[in-house]
Amino acid sequence: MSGGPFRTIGRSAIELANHVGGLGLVIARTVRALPRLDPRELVRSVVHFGYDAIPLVVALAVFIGGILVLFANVNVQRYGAKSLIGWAAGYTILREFGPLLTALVMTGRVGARNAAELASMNIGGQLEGLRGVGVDPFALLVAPRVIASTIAIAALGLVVNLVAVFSAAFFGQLIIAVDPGSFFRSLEQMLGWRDALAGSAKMVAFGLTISLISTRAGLVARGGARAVGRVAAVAVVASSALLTALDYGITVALERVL
Amino acid sequence: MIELRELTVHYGSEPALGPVSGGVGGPTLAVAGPARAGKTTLLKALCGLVRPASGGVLVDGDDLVAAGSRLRGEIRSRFGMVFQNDALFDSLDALGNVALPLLRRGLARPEALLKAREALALVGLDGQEHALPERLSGGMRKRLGLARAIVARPRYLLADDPLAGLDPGTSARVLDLLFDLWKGRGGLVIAAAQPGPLLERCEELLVLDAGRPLARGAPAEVLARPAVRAVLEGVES
Amino acid sequence: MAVSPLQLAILLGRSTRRALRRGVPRGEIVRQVHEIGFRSLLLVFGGMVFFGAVMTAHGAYQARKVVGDLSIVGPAYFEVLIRELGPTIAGILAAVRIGAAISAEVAAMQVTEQLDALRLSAGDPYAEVAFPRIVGGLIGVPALLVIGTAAATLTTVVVSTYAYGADGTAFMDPTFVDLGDIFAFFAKALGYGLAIPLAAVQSGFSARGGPGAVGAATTTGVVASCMLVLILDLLISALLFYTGL
Repeated sequence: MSGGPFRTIGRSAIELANHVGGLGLVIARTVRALPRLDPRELVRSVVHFGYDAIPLVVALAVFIGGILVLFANVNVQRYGAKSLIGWAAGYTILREFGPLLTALVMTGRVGARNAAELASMNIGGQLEGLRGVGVDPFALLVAPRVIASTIAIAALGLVVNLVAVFSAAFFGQLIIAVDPGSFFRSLEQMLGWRDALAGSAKMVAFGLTISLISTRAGLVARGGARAVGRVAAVAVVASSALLTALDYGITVALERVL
Repeated sequence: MIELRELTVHYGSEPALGPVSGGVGGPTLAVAGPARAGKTTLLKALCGLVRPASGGVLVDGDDLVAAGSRLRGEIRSRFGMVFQNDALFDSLDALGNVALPLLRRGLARPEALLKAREALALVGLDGQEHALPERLSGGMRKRLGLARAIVARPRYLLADDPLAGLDPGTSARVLDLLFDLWKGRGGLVIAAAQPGPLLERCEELLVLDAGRPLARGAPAEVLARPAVRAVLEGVES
Repeated sequence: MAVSPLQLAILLGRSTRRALRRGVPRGEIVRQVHEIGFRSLLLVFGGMVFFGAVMTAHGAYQARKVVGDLSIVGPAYFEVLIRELGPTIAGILAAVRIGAAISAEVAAMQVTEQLDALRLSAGDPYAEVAFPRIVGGLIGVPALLVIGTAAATLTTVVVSTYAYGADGTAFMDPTFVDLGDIFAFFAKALGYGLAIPLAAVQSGFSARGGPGAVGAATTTGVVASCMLVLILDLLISALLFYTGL
């Protein structure tokens, strides 16, 4: 049959449109369900997604701090400006590696889990069952999850930034003998609320991306045990890909504004 | 014969089965009980897929628990098992699934494929050699699992809930096939949540409840006991 | 349900021993190299292109505040890319994709009793399932990291030239790149190549239960793979720092 490459492109375009449309649908229905949200349920969900990730996130932040000191050291020592290490490390943590690395790890911790849980519920018929008794599964289950996971990821991002900065101060003293005092001074002098805000904006965007993609992936799952695994894996990869692209887009956009 | 001596099995720190004692593998044995009763655990402990927490398993006189990896492998090869969810290798076609046990035991490829084809013919799947498991119907998958289980001529055949998910017609056909293939020799152990269709074909019935053996004996006699009926009635509903 | 280094060491030892004893499954290894390396290429390549662009943007910002001309930080950035950021960011991307794929696949095999059926068919999950994936990681991950780092480097060159008007070739300038940096790169690449499949296979093997267990194992596998990449990064960097490399 003729038209080979065009058919492939056409099919990919349709698939892409399908996915984007599907995501749009999730966004729209989540927004529509907002007024009906139960605040207590929301808090419970945020805790479900975020609370037991705290040890993981703290460990992550400690490593980021250590790695960043080694990295900033190389950069700053070339120009003999040891006093700038606080700033260089802090800047890269708050604006870049805090959000990016946290989000990438969270695609696994929150994204895979969310997709898997929704897929299990979908396959197990719980969503159909809810519809059967006249309850909108979106308002009850899905929308809260999207919002809760976004909030959880953004909050965890804040924790990472905080712990990573202290970890960097610690490693600064340990590895390159920069005392915490001058570390925090240079941090304070050259960084401002703009850098913190830039990082937080990224975390919210990343959190939303992970939530939406993992939710959409979980909802379209069909099959058995194998499907649950496959869906979680796809959610993780798609989120990561989009994250790196968003990271670039937001960085460039923010550096003009913030 | 397989002899069990105060066998217990734990999953992590949770007791799953035991203590169980007695001989298995002579008369055809049906193992019944509700979910989580330990039926699958018992079958897997018999063939060494699961290690006991305490107690002993002797297979034809060989101590399975104390066996080194070579002896354990040899003891395992005396068993064939049909699994609850088929457990077919989904990246291999039907022929590949049945040939694998032979190939792994060192048989040359041409000979293994020949024997595999014979086994497929025995279970009525000779037209499905190159079909992938996901394309086969429930009854066909059970038959494929059966072919794989018997292709290496094991001494004992274990079947874990072989009729689960099948409609009554297919169920009857699979059951007939199972007993025809095994041709009345000893060493058949079948586990089932609902023992109904098995009862007239099995010589012995063991009922488990929450990991503990509740009763064992001739099916009619065991089923007459009120305690047994109470436990199994829960399963029927 | 975390994964411990001891379990991973045992898994590595057992898989290698049994595979060597039974005969190495060459066909399956080739399949795994394709599955692990080739199928992760898009994510790692694309991700590293974006990362390279981001690095350039940050570099421009920092350069403006400190040294003025972007090309001055070029060689330093190139060194850090090779030694540190290239392998680690590409490593995390690889960990995410490979960790998820392998944990999901192996967990599904475990939960559907295929691994039990394999054992009873005189097969060995350690030799036939674990080992090929470990070798696949050792070959595939370093390849991915090389391609990813190259992608990031080229992106920094292009973006700094066309978006910031600097001399882009400064970002490929190997003035500061020494043997220690190359060593660091490959030490990390091999470390990640080993750790990622080990963590993922171990999570898969430990799955118990129904479909829910597959989801849980996938989550654990991805997170463990990522964390191991970061831990190894810190350890190797610190070790090389202290031994003066």
